[in-house]
Amino acid sequence: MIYKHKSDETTLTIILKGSLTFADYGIFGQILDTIAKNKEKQCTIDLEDLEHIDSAGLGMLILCKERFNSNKRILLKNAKGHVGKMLELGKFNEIFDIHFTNN
Amino acid sequence: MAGDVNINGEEISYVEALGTLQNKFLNSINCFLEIFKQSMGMLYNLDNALESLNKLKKNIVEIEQINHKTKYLALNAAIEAARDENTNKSFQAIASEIRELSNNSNNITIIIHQQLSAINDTLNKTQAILKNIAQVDNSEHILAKEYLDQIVQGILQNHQQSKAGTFIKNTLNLEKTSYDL
Repeated sequence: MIYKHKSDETTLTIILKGSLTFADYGIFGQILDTIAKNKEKQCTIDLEDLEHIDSAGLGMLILCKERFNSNKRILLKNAKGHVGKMLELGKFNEIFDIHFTNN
Repeated sequence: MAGDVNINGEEISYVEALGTLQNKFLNSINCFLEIFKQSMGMLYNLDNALESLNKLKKNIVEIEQINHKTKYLALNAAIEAARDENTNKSFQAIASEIRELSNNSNNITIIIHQQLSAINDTLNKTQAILKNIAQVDNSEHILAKEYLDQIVQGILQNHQQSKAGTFIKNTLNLEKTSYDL
């Protein structure tokens, strides 16, 4: 997986691309550090270009939500295909502020 | 009215039984998600612990270097004190005392080193076990929910059709009976 991030005055956006699997736990650790260092109160994780996620990847997303639960709003958006299905079946909408795409 | 199925002596409808099954499956998914999250959390915690341990090891090495220098300083002081008979006896005693303290301190750092190595080994082994567990992809258990939902929907549709069929059949039989009468 590769990721990039951008921020405006209110929101830090993390864009994930490729596959989020156990192999990416080191990279995801960097993402957690990036979120921790940024002052923005909202963090949007854009999953539009994320094509695959495994169980470890799901665990990392929930971990991210819980780690920053007290001081940041974590939003997932644009999940589609396999990733969207996994989030939907796992009822991630009950854990996250989430916006699904229709495709 | 009798239910469609008997579960542990209780007659319940298909709709209720399948709804319970779906809820139980959803609870299992929640348990799986909790395990996925905890596994990854533990891995990050272990990474942090190992990083802290490495910093600690470097600090111990620095203490060892200080011990080493103190030891030679005390040795030189003792040699100088022995050379000159006029040197104050108390200075000789202090030099000897410092050397002993340095030796004691060095022995303690050796023990700490051994203990840190043991902790390091344990953490590395734990991390390896946890990695083996976490890298197994269990997402199929979540995808199975989709399959279950499809099965439930199919069974309920068949059940509804079957009930409708029975109703029509019974109605036709009733009409036939009234004609016969």
